Amino acid sequence: MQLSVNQIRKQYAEMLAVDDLSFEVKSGEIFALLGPNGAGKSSTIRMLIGLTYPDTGEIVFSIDKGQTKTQLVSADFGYLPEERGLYQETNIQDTLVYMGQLKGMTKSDALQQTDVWLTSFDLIERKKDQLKTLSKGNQQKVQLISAIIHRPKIVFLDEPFSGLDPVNQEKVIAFLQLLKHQGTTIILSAHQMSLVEKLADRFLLMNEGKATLYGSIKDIREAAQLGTKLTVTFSEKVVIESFELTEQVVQVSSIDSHNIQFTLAPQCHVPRFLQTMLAEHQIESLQTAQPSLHDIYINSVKGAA
Amino acid sequence: MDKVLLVARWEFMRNFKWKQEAIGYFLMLLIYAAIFAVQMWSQSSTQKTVNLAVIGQLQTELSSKFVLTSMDDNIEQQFIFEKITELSLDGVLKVTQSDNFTLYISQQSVWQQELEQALIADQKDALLRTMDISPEQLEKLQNPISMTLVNQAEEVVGSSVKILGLLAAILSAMAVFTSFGLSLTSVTQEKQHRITEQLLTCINHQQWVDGKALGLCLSSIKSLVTTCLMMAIVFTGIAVFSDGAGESMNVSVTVVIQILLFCVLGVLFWNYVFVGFAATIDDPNHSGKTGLMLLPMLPVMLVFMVMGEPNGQVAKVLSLVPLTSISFMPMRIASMSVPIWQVGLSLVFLLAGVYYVRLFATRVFRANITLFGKEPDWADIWRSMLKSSS
Repeated sequence: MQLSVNQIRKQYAEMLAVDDLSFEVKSGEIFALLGPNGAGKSSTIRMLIGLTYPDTGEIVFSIDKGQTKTQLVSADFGYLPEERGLYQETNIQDTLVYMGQLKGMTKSDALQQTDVWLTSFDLIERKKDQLKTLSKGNQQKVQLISAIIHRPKIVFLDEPFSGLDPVNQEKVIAFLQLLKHQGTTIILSAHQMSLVEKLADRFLLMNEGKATLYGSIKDIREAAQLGTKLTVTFSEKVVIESFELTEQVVQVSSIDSHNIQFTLAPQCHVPRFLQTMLAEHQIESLQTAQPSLHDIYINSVKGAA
Repeated sequence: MDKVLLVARWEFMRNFKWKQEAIGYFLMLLIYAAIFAVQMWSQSSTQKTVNLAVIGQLQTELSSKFVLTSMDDNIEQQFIFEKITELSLDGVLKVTQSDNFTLYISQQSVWQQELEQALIADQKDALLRTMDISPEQLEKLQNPISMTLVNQAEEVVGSSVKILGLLAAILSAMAVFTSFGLSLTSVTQEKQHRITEQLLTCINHQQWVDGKALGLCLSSIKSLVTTCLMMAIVFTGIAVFSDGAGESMNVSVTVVIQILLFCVLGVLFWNYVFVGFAATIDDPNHSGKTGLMLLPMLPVMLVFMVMGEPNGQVAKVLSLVPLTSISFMPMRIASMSVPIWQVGLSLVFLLAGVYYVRLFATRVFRANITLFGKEPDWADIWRSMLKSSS
């Protein structure tokens, strides 16, 4: 299932939540919506699933054989809201079967899928327990299962990693990769840049309701115009004050007395920069790195501020 | 419709905790049994003989339960209690005049009332003899006329139906209050646990409200039925143990069906109101809107005011208005033969009332179920009620 969003806009009273936003999500990819709090990510997701409607603009879902529709039915998609919860005092199996049935599954199918997913999340022994007896991480897993129990074609996950420890974050990543492998299209919003960077195929960076950067990590790096990061290890002790910011160098930071990190401007010619440095210092080794999504994200938000 | 039934079943089953209910009813039976046992025990352990000392001349002949001894007329009051202890007496009766007595006791007991009653009865007989009035004449004086009420309605609706009408009014009020508690808990818990958005991707607001109202209505009626069964068991038990024949209920089946129909529709009506308004509440412990609970009390209180005049203008009009017909029409049906057109019209109005309250409740629910933080005020609720979904 593909998704095409064309110039959607949403205003709540005095606040413009989403402004002229357009993007596309390809079938079977993991697409990440990134941005600071209040950027409009959740508002966008809520419009995509039909909880609210755009004031203007259009959302089109392309199904098989060229068919399109502007609104999904509950069986088509899964949704994990940012502010989420389930029935605390009902047993886990009953809750998941109920959610499955509400999404169009038969009871026997819902029971079977509940067992399959609880087994894969190591929770099968707890299926008759009340949700409130589980740890927060395990409760999140149950909530995730409730969103995908009916095997939807497209899944919307609003901050799926929030509240999870690193071990459970990795488990969720593996789970999302499994879903992708099964052909599910996944749209998620998150703050954990390092996790999203290795998980998502394409990204949309948002700020104040607008798209600031959009595309694959390669496209975004190019568009962000952030140069290479260069970490230099000097033979002698150096002080950070001996390096000045120029048009070539946008940031200098000291790691220790021998190691300095330079963030170079995109137009910086690296060999020429190194030649200049070698004229004054003895270099033992150097490392280059591409700017991370985190750097791009921070830069994008700072630039907009 | 499938999803409405699914939600209704979920709501019903969430409240159907059979273990807790069984324990609750078992405890209730245990309490009834304990009360009954204590009563029997108290009756069986009542004092068999009473040792009573008499100061003065007692004219009355008391039952053999009272063992009487004489006591010196000149004994001073301060020594009477010493004598009671010394002679192991239950009491000392001082006869000042034929109609003036003082009873000295060391502790209160049932026999003291029996003694007083015997003395009163004896004195009454003595007075009647003095006035030359026979007991029959006294009876005539106390009840000068005799009037038998032959009510045609009892021929139509059954002689025991008045009790049923009262019972129906009380039980449906109970069901409405149960609904209030259940809907408040159900809706606010879903809001507090943030389940609302997930559910709204599966069902629309109307399906959600319908399912909830139906499921909670069933839960309330289930509580009502089990309470009735418990009452029936208890009353049967009392009738058996008290050796009473137990009067059989003479009630027309049509009347019972009519009363039940109004009860069920009434509970459904109020469930829609409660589900809609519960969506405006974030935290039931700190909300001023729980005062809404007083509203369903109104028809119940009003019905008791006009119970003696089921065919009066007030009862007639209020039995047609949906908000009050829930209590008034069952009361009228139970008390008289209500013209069928009035029952039919009231039913049509009530059904229309359920339809419109469903509509308004869904509007309020839609506007408020996903709002957290500041609760809407009554003006906001009124505006959302008037605003259609389009």
